[in-house]
Amino acid sequence: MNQTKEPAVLDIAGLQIDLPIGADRPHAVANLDLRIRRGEMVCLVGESGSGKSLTAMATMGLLPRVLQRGVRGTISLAGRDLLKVTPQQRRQIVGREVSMIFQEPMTALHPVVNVGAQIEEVLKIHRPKLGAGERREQVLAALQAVQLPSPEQISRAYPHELSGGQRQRVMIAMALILDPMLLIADEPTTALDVTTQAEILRLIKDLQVRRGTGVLFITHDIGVVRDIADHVVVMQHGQVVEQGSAEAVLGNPRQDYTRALINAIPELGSVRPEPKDLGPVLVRMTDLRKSFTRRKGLFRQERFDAVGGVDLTLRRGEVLSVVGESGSGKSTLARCLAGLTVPSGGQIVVGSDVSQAAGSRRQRQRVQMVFQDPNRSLNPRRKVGESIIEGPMNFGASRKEATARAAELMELVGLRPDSLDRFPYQFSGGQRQRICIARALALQPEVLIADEAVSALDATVQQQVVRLLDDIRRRLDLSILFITHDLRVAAQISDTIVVMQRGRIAESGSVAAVLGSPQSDYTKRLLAAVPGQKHSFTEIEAND
Amino acid sequence: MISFLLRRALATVPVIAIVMLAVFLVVHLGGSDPARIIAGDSAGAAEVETLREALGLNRPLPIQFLDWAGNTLRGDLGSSLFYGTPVVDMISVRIGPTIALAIGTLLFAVVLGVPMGTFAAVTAGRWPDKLLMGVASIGFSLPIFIVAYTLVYWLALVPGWFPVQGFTPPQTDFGQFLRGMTLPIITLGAFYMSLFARVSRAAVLDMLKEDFVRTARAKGATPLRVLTAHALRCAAVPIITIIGSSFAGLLGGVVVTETLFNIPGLGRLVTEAILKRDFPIIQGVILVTALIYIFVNMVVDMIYALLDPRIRQ
Repeated sequence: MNQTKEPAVLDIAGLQIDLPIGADRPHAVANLDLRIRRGEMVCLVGESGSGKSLTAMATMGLLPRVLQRGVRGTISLAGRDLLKVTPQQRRQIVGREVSMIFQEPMTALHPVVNVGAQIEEVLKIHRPKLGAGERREQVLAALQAVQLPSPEQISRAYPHELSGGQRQRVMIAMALILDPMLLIADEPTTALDVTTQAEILRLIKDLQVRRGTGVLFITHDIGVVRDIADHVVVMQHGQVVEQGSAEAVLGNPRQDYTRALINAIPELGSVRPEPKDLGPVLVRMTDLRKSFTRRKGLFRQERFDAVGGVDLTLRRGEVLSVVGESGSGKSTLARCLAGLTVPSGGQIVVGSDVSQAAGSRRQRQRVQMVFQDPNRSLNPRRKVGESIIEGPMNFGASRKEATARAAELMELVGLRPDSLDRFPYQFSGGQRQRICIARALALQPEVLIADEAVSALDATVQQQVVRLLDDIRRRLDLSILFITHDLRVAAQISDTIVVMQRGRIAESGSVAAVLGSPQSDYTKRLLAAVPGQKHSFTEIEAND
Repeated sequence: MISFLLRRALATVPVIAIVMLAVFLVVHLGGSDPARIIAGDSAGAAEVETLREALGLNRPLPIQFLDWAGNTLRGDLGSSLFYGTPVVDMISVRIGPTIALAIGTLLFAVVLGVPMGTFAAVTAGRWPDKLLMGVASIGFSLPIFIVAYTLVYWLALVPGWFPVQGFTPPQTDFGQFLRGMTLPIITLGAFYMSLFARVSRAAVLDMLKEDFVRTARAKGATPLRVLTAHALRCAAVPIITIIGSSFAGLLGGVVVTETLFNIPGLGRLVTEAILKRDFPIIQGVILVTALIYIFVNMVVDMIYALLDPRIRQ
């Protein structure tokens, strides 16, 4: 349309953010041009480290002091250069004319203040003349606008009392209460379940269209882009490699990098090709239960079943994915199998040896686990080699044997054996997860549990790690219990899918059966919520 | 909230019972024979035995404990073996100066230390931070008697601004009471001020890195508001933890300070009692100190609950 007449809400021109000397590249962001018009949703995509978050931070004036000094170019908000305003002027702009929501609503909210007061703070800062009554009314209206049930009650709740989706709605209410012309959303749905993600995306899209807010939406998920974007900007190593309308960029990408990003998100239709022959049953869970107690009042306690009677078998060489929303009990199930928590009832048998209780020493060695966040599951002060050989040495291997085996494992997971002497911070996230896999394999387990093991990784890295897991499974004849909330990943690697809801199995079966013709409403809802994939279900049905 | 406070208050009951048992056992299994001490060096074995019977010390320990516990709960801590005065009376005379010194020290340390640490955190890595943390390191490492005698020499002996030692009850002359407490409070407080400064610095620095502080900035909050309403509000829990647990050390540290400045407090009372094996006094003082400590901890926990809703559950 007529671009010149319509003034841009945000116009970033020639933005450059220098990195401190000694970093892996001179500029975090170089030569960035970006325009957002009124009511336009612009998606900024790229892998982690591509500079997309720093662009957002520079706009908000939230860059760390070291980086703040090396910012050049212009960032104009409705014609006003945000890089030239005084700190006082900036404080009047942020929160009112441009506001931001973040990836992790739990940590982004003040933990010890109720959410009503946190939203009210925006009014206190920017509308000092409002009376307490008026502020209260506006807060409740804002909570209403983000479709939270019973705003009165929610406004008095603390962040830890709300669900992830509710917290993000509170953040959105806080960001939009003064009707800013620009909303910056930095991976706002990455930490959420698929179904919650779909709801939040719909909410943001809806508010953006209705209020005419310009939105800068940062994500690494092409599926999300497909669902909401008007315009797409692709970043790599701090530079824009491609930009254009959503249809143009997604439908006809010109750059290899864009194509790689698009291909890294597995289609739900890309079910593993040939169903393979599975070995004998290796793990058998019968009526597994795990309940926790919560305190209610002075003496009363409330029991709730995290896992409420699950029967499950895992065959040798099988990849079984357990999917479900958070709180569905999938991680508790995994922890019971790994012996990290003691079940309240039921039985877990690994192999044919009934006498071995879950969690016994012998079983711990047979069942190993890879966790979600590789940054936190490796001891930062130990060399990675030490972390890998610790397990075998606990089971009687000599240091020499264990180290030799660790070197082999490093090669198996695609890392150089001589990096055993390095510390975790010297590796990237994907490499660290490979190290965690090597650590788990060091005990020569028969079952590998991957608990959201790829969820914290970028799509492209995610794909590599999933391929690695499958490759290792084939070479070592392992069984894998794959815990994930991402159906797309589950579809890519699994033989069998178990859908869990509120501690029970809602549905289970082969990938083609569960994803192709889901029986339970819950599975159907999960599938419908997967971003950007709505057209691919028909293919699965055709193959079935 | 009410339920949390009630539960927390009830939780002190078993602790008090255990403390009473421990206090009783420490003295009675301590190896010294009270009857022997009271009877004096010149007494013969028969005399000691008669005395033992008269004092009820020959009864089985559980009976003695129940007897003592019963009396204690009625507010009777027995009488001093040497002076014959009731222990409760002796403690109530001596507790005033100690409490005044302890509370004064805590106030001094908190009022100076927490702002010092907070300011250091805000200026982390720059010169105010380095200066303040340098001061804190000195306060942290100087032995208490060096601080005391330096202060006495330069502020009391030479200019005569403060009394060198001694204690004036506040009801007699409040101004003189304050002047008398100043040097002991600084002496004892220098260490705690440094401790609180360092803990506050670390806690505030951690909080400033948190996501919710970034959110506050994104709302357009002023730096002062970000610091007080957001960072300090959350750093309060670790800071109060250390203030609460410092109280135990403080009650111990009081002994040295009271001796240095000749303040007639609990610390002096118990040191004298230990030297004379006056076990009812020792028991009484330990018990009272323990009760104060239990009470302080309870109050700290209740403050937590006020500050942090997550703790209420």
